[in-house]
Amino acid sequence: MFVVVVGGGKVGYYLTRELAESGHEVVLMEKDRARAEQITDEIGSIVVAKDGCEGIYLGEAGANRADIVVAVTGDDEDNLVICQMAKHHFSVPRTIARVNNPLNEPLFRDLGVDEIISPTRMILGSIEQDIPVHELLHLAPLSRDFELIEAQLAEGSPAIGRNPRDIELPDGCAIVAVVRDQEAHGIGADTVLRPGDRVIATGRDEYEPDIRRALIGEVGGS
Amino acid sequence: MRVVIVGCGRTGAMLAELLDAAGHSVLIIDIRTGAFDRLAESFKGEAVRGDGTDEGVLRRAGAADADVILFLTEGDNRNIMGAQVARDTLRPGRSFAKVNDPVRAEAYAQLGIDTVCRTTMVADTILTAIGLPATGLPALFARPEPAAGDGARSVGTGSQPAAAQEG
Amino acid sequence: MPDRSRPIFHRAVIALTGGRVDTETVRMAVELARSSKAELVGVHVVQIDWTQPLDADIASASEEAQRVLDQAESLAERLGQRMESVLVQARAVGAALVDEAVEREADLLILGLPYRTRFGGDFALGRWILYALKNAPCAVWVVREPMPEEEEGES
Repeated sequence: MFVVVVGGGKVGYYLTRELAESGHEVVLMEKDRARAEQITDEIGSIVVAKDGCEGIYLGEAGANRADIVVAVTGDDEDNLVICQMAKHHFSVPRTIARVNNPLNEPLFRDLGVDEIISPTRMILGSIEQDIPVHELLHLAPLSRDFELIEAQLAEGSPAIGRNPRDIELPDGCAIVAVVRDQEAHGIGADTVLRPGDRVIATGRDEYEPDIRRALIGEVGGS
Repeated sequence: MRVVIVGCGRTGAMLAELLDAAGHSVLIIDIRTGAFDRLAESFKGEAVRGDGTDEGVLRRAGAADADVILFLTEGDNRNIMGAQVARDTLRPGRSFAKVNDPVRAEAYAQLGIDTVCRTTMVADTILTAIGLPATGLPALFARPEPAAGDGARSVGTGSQPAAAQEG
Repeated sequence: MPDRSRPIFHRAVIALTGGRVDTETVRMAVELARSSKAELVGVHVVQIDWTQPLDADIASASEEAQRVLDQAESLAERLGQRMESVLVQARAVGAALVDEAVEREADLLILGLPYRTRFGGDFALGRWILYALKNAPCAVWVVREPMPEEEEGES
């Protein structure tokens, strides 16, 4: 597999080193000449000291025959453009971008980046998972503005004892499944929500407060 | 006409003043308030600080009803990203991104945004002035005209084609 | 007191650039090797850019590369010394030469440097030479060709 990595920060550096050690052909693009030389000293002549945002240089680094292009610079707009140029100008089959601002995730997806890595989202996700009740868990953005959300029902949730179809939600929101005893269930006419159920819902993110109110209840004891 | 300008550099400020003086409604956005020092006292439009590539910022600043949006920041990639955000969310009548790298300027025209390239513009002006043949590259790389029922974009999966933009 | 019986080197790797300076480096290496029966290995590195895989069929198919090896070998032979010569494909010339010297346990690396100026300005010491000077464990000699004579008659 031939991988072009753009951005020689910490992530790009370790990624390149690991890929090379596991036997893949890999080249790292780093536009800062001093940094590029430092990395060359450490991991060998697999660094191109040029800006991967420039179409010509991306070509010189072998984008024409790359299996994967990974953009891990510190700037979202650069990562987006690198992946788009790789995909549309060089027909690279697979592009992966780091997204620093989680709000840019759906945009990157819509604009054709194949895979998106969001350190911010990952850390946020792991913090949210430590909070068992009261909170909505953001499972995944489905597209711009659209989210898949999980709510774990605690005692006292206004949804308990009700059929999800009877719960009032704004148009464009839907409860799609209930996870109970490690199994997912669709919503039937006889589904009745119980404490401990994990309810999977989807909707535009502006309706999050409505979903929260319906499934978790008023937070803050008001 | 409602015009939104992202990036208050020399070009952005000049256009803002000219359009404002010509009676158009102008909103200019820059990430640094200091950039607005370029605007003359007589400028009557709005100047808002914020990241103009962010859809939320654009909306809050009042860019949703723009007829024309110009992305004129110093970074080619910021302009490219902003123009794509605007095209797919705010859907202005027209939008332009300043892209100084001719390779990217041409590539993104193919991907459905109008790009303006200062590099070819300056080179051609000088070449013409001294009587030499021009570069052969345009200053404005226009996206292909969307054919009926056929979106100009080949990018993406989730959003609607750009055909609806022409208005 | 220097030990006059000790040979200057046992095995030298000589970088073959394909330029005029090769004549200088090969001749010098041969003269020095003669008395001490040292081994000589000429290495010509063909740089492969990233648009092609490292093992692409390039160097062996290149007449130019073969010519560089042949020329060096036959010069050494005319001067009465055997010289092995090898063709190496690499991403970076300096690193390839240093690797070759290490692999062959050479105690000397000889590099020929054409006199060149960058864009007509300052004298340019190639990156690959700097790399070898910095990283080769053995001794490194750099042979710079003489400055070209001033061309006359140019207005």
